[in-house]
Amino acid sequence: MSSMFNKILIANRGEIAIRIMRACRELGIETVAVYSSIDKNALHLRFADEAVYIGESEPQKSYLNIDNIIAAAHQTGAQAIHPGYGFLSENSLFAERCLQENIAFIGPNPEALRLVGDKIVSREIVAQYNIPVIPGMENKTTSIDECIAFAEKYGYPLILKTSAGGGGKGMRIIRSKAEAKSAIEAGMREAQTTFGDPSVYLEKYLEQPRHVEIQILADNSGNAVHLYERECSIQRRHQKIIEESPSVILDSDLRRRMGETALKVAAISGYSNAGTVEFLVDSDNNFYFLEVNARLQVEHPVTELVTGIDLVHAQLRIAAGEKLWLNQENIRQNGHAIECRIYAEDPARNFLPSAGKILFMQEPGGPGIRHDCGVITGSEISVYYDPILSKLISWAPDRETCCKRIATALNDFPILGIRTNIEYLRDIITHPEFSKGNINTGFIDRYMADWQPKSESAVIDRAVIAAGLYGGLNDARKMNTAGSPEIPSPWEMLGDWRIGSRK
Amino acid sequence: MDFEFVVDGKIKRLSLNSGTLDGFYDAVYDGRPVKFRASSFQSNSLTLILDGRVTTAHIAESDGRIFVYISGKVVELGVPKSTQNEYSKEMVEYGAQDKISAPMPGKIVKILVEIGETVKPKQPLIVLESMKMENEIKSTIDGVVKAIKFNSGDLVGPGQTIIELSRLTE
Repeated sequence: MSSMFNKILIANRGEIAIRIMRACRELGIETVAVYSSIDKNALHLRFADEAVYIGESEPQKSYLNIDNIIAAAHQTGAQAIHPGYGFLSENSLFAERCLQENIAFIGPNPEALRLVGDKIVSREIVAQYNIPVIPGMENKTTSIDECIAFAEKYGYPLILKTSAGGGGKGMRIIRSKAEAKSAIEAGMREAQTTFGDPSVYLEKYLEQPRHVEIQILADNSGNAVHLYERECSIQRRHQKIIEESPSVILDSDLRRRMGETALKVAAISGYSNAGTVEFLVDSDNNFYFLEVNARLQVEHPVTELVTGIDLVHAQLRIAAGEKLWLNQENIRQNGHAIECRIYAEDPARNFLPSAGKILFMQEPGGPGIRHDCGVITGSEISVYYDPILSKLISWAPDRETCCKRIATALNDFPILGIRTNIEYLRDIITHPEFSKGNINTGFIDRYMADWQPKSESAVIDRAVIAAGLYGGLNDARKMNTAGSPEIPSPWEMLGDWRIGSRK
Repeated sequence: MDFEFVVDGKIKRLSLNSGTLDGFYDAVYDGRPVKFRASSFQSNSLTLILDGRVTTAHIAESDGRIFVYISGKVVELGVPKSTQNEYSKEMVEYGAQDKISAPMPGKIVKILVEIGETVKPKQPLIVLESMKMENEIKSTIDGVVKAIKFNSGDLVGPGQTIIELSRLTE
């Protein structure tokens, strides 16, 4: 089969659902959105041709509810399901179920998904092929004693990881025997509450490595290419917040070797569709295989902007059975791209998630600016899901211009009513060490630990004047329109005025 | 109109004294006289020209907190306890219903009533021109015109009382 789908269901929400729906529209494919109770007015529904309710707001009852999603696909006649990222995207049971139900799963085949989904097994397998890996325990465990025995034998520092994990949840750095027991206990508790599985394992901890990953595309017959690297070293609590491509530390030789290694991992695991092979790179530019992310990643746009290849289009074509149409030697990196993840959280108050209604939002624009966004003025941000609102991405011919572009866009991006990390991101992008490319996974702890928004008196003065004027005029409007709705708001009347001209 | 806001724990005072038809305002901010020009291109957003510098502010209000976005920063303003509802206090005076005031800077085109005249809700009282548009200001109560403070052709600032009514009670 190599004819494109007519209709697909997107088993996700927010910016990624919209991103995928746009790609489908471009290819003339109809889309089915799914939504939970609290998402009945969510933005992603407006980008779909059909929408199906799949359950209550808790993810387990809706976006993780395999039966309801499969039923929605049958009900609407969707031929395929795109899982986006998160939720069911790396769930091999879901991928298998789709196959059984004769629905195409837009992602890797279930066998590859299962293999790379087990972080320990995949590390042991690729190590057999002489791919450098980070040494660690050879099995997951729920035994604290077993962890401590390994730590005493292997030595510190170590990093505790959850077997089921992702997104940095449950991760702990352990530097000595004294802190080992409590860190392991805490990690297991977090793994249990987050993933329902307390299994953990220990790995050698590299001090402040860089996180560099390679995007791959593989068809269903084993043909594969890589789309070069993404540098994702700017992480807060093991979660990426800024990603870019290319990486400043890769020379052509290292880039070629990492790309070839990623393709080797794809071949070993029988991988298909889009995926990412993650590596850590130490200060001597040695790289170590970390894991495979078997999905479309949050940070995929930076690769799209530098290679010109639409990854969602590619996923759909591969899933529809098309043979890979790309040749490695024709794939080039052009210019530089940076992505910032915009979250509903308050960096000034320990990054507490910020729920509520977006009272006002205005997207930035200009040359080289892309905004993959899941919200709009009036959107309600709930506590049920990941607090990502959107991704702001810039492209420019060189890194310096790219940094300036995204900093300028971050500086002209009002979101009011909820708190966001926009100002925090701008302060990272404009940090002198970031500008120089001196970044690694320790950047946030080292330079941003005590970050607070700077208070500027000139801004405060203008804010007070603006608030007074707004309050006065707005109250006047409220009072007047209450009695006589045909009186237009003073805003509309003031609107005639333009800089440099008096009408 | 007088305002008090709390920013970073400090009280900031602003008196908006007068505004003119083409958007010039006189105000006293933190004890200093300031002159600025203001315009708005969309609801929630306004542009100030103050000391020659252009500032665009985006503003939203929720639960008595006011959020103002300027130059990449969000400033949060509160209303002090002692003068809580400064907005609404102004509004009461403004919207006291027996005091008919200018909702925006403008020129009085016509006063449609005379002293002693009985008025009904929704009856037009004043025609005010602002930004080349004429707007009727209407009564919201049953009342009798007690005082008329301006004449046709006068310029009025936001909040200035133009007509006073005596409420007719049942």
